[in-house]
Amino acid sequence: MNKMAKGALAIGIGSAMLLGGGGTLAVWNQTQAANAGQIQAGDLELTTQPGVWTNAYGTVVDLDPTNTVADYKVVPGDVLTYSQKMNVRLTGDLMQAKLSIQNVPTSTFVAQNVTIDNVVVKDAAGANLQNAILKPVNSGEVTASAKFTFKQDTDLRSSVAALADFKNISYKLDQQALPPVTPAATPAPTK
Amino acid sequence: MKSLRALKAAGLILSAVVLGLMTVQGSYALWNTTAPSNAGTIQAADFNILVNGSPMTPGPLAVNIGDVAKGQPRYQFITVENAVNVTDSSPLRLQASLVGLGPVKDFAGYLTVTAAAVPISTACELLAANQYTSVSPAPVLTKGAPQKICLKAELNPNTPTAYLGRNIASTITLTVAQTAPAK
Repeated sequence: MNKMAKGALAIGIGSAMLLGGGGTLAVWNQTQAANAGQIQAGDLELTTQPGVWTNAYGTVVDLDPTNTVADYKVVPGDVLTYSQKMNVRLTGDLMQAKLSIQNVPTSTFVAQNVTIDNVVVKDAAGANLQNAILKPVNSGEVTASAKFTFKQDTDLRSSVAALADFKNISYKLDQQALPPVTPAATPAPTK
Repeated sequence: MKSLRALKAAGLILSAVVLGLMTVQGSYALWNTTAPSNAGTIQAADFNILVNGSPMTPGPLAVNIGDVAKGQPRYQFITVENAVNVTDSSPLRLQASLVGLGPVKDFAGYLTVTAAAVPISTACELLAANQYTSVSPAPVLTKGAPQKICLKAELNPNTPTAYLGRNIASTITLTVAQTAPAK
């Protein structure tokens, strides 16, 4: 038996002894669960329901040119009012967000013929939420509204076939960065 | 020489890192969401009025009464139609009226023009004399339903010869105005 064969035999026997008697090398040990819990992400969501325009008589009118219903045409003396329900969902212990209205109505009406009140968003209590910092407690249904008044003193044929475009208006909810932690805001260590 | 090159390379890398950090500010964005309003477009009506089937134009009415003989009234009519592109929900209410009825200017009261608003199928010649008045009729113009207005020109049988044989341009003006709807 040459040296190589002897060496290989010794390695094999040693390995077999280690594998067979592995358990006998155990010492005391214990396992404890960390119970560190689950981290769950919050939520920020804004959903809209179809908006509704009503005329001076409170009749619901159609202003959507993409459907088959004849579009309502406004005349002097008429007042159109817009109402749209939205749902705000803010979840997260430190969640805070700002609601903003994107874009403003554009108009080809003669300015003195009309009054255009741009969209505002209010909660159930009537508080204006535009640019307010909202927290999870503010989650729920809110209402967007707007008003268009075609003044009764419009004379001759002023503003005939004019347009006031509200279609590009949208609502945006932006999460707000948390303020930096200051030493005073840091809880004191318990003794 | 070698250390200068290394210094230049380090400066270049540093610049690239700073530039890279500055251009990735977007990555600091927090959650945000946008919802469209789909609020539509408000359109004003076109105030399209048809007179004798053609779009109304400003100015006196183009009415050809023809030759008026003493004691023999002549009749003519116009139709006025509310063809405004409003829907049935619209509060639009229109009324037509005439200005310039009664005695014709420079005729010393011998020539008068009176009018009456009648259903479209009525013949002007068949109306009773008292249905024509020099007070303007003011019919409400229902959308899509032409309104007929009869005109009667009458030359008094006692008209002096000096007033005969004249040509008269129309001085009657038709006005269509939006009026406040009844509530």
